[in-house]
Amino acid sequence: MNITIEIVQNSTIVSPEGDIDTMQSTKLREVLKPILSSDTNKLIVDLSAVKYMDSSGIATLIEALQICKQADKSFGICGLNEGVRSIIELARLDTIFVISPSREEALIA
Amino acid sequence: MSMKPKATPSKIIVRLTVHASPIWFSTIRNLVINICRNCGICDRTSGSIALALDEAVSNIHRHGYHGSSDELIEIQIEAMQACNGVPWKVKICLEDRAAQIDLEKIKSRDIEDIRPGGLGVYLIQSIMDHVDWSYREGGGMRLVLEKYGDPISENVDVCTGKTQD
Repeated sequence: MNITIEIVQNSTIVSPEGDIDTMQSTKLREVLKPILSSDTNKLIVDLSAVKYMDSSGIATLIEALQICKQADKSFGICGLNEGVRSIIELARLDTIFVISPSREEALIA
Repeated sequence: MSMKPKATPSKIIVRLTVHASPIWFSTIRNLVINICRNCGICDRTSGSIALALDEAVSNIHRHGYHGSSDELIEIQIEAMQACNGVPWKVKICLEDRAAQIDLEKIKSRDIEDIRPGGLGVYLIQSIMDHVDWSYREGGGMRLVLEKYGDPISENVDVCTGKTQD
């Protein structure tokens, strides 16, 4: 799994590519860990290149959200395709996560 | 008076035995998606069925086999196309050789409790129409998942060529 990290205006944008399943969610968690303990103000996970996500991917995002909340940082996700959106809705997390259509909108959300 | 023979729906049965290793999970997902698509099931529902199956095999790997990839999972996927007004049906049976657990203990967690983990059973039960855990003969667990086509959805009836309405 390729994961790109960009720093834009005090925010960190993490963009994983491919499927976030049991095997790949561990890699995403490892990439997020140092970012969550850094001094970034906002973490955005851009999911526009993610075709599939299972409950382990959801768990990784919830974990990141909770760490951000505790550290008074903002957390958002963007670029959800239909499949990823449907699992987030199924898990009733669409009102818990700040969801933006694009990374540009996520930066100002 | 000659009678037109009734068309019969196509049914596919696939049986596979795989190691409970996450490296196989995407192959299993793609297999069930392709089977569902070939039965005329829409992409969204095919994806959901694949997610339910993925959660089931992940649970066997994580909880049944405690993360070991050496043990086996037997999977049987049966799918029948919609035909003559009868909606499509997908039945998936998974068998493992994990320790048998109290069936009462397999339950979905409170979805309002926002925390990482424990979503698998909830997702399986939300997606599938019928979910049944039981004990496998000779040891291990057995899980049967079923999903039926919605008669009012726009899935193609392969026998009449019409969408079901």
